[in-house]
Amino acid sequence: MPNQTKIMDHSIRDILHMIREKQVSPNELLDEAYQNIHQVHEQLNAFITIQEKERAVREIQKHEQDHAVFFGLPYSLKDAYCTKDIRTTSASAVLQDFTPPYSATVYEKLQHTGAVLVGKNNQDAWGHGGSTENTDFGPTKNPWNLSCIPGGSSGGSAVAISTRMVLFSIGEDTGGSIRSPASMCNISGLKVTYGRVSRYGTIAYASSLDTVGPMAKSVDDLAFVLKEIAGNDPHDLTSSPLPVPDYPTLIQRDVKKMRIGLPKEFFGEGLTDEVRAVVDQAIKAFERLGVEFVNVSMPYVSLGVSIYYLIAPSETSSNLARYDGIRYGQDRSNFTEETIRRILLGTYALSAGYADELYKKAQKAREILIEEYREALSHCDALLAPVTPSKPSRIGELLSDPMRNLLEDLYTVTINLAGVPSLAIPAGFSSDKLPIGIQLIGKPFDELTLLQLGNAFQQATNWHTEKPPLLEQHP
Amino acid sequence: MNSHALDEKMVETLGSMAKIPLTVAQKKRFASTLSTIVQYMNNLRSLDLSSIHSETRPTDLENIFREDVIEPSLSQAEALAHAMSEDGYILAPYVFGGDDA
Repeated sequence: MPNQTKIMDHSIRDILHMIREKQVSPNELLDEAYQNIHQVHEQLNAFITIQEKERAVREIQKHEQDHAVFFGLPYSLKDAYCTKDIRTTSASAVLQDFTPPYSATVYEKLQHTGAVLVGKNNQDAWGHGGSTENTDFGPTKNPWNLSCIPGGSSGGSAVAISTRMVLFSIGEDTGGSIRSPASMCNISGLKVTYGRVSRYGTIAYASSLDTVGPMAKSVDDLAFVLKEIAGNDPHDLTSSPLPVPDYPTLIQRDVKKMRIGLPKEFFGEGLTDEVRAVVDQAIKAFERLGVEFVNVSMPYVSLGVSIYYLIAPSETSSNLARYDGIRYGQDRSNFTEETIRRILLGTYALSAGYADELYKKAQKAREILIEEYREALSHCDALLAPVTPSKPSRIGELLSDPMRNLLEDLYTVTINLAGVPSLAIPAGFSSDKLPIGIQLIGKPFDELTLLQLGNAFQQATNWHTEKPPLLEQHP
Repeated sequence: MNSHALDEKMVETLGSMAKIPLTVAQKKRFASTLSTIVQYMNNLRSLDLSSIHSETRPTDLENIFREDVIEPSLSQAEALAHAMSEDGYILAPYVFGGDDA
């Protein structure tokens, strides 16, 4: 049976228009979201906590009179964001009963927009992983093939969007955690510049790398969400005071003559033919739009996994030291295997006798990497690269091979080390119909150029409108 | 230091520094997987970066201050809501003596 177009298939731009013109009501939208949750969630396990529908309806009623910008739009949060009075677990048994006494800034901002929180998404615990298997709440399944991973760590968010359970979600990206699941579930996801969005109330993984960003069906949708969540926050001293552009009105742009760099280190050993073919096809699509490509080289990218897996575990060993089971949460025997591995690795990298040749050396290499990004981006408007070296793997495959698990992150982690923004968008499928995305990497605080390029790509292609076959069983 | 052996003894030490109890099987597994990972990192160790002065900071912002005024914060009851507490104090394990000594 062919897919029917439903309200949740439309863009945020169109839905806001339809609500304003009273063609649809927020309650109809919410009905459809909960109907989808009811039909497919059990198979997918995308949420750790689902909000009671009655509570969501009350949220709508609260904003009926105030013309809030996102009035009635159903959304979700990765379970890494503190939500006052709503359980927040970071997908770990350590926080299985934790109800925060305060809210993350990103949640507070979205509550003010009138958007309706329908749930908190499954993830790799503490952001540790790229498959949403390292969770104490059961793995999340990929809606394109239930025996495959959805990517991660923000896997639940990507699945919820892909299956129209929510219109958008807030993910968190420390080493690829928004881009990997976006790529593997055929949705769009933006890793913002470090400091673009407040991290206040985010459960920390690695504080110098953590970023809060939007995930949605299309780049145009991301523009709407980013505008609402970006900006300075007195509660996060690393949040930038730079003004927030009006992304939704500026997103249309002729991309002719824009220049994109292709860093050769993203196309070397390890990149599978299927992903390579999708990237090549995307390059051709951009060329048809008049975009020019240039080759660039960033040698330190090939050291990215080593640099990242010294710095991020070091920071996480420090951040997770607070979970002592005394003030809140369960004790430290509740960490999963992957989290313990990262804590031990970080403890090793920071310990006396090893810190100089491990942690400090990684920091110096990071310095060079930042310079390489600055240099490459001084010649181009953006860089284009694959998101992951291979298509979504089968559930269990990466868990049994921790080293391969790390190498899967090669194309995403250096972007976090450099602090620059990166947009992941759908770009094609493998021969067995699993989604494959690409990423566009930009200059610091130039999310707008990425959104413009991504939007132009999505106006010229249809990859992002394809829905998982699972939905066809529930027309 | 040229041997980077992450043997079970080292894993046990790291576990005790990180205050994470490890089973015998876990020590064995972590010694194996962490050794593989640390060996891979030799590509970084072999570089001479002595001329680089790392000042890596995630942003260019500096000296962010606010007025030194008290802002609303959690009540004592909220702060203690998830803790083992008594008479408004958090109950914690003994530091000296007690069962953990």
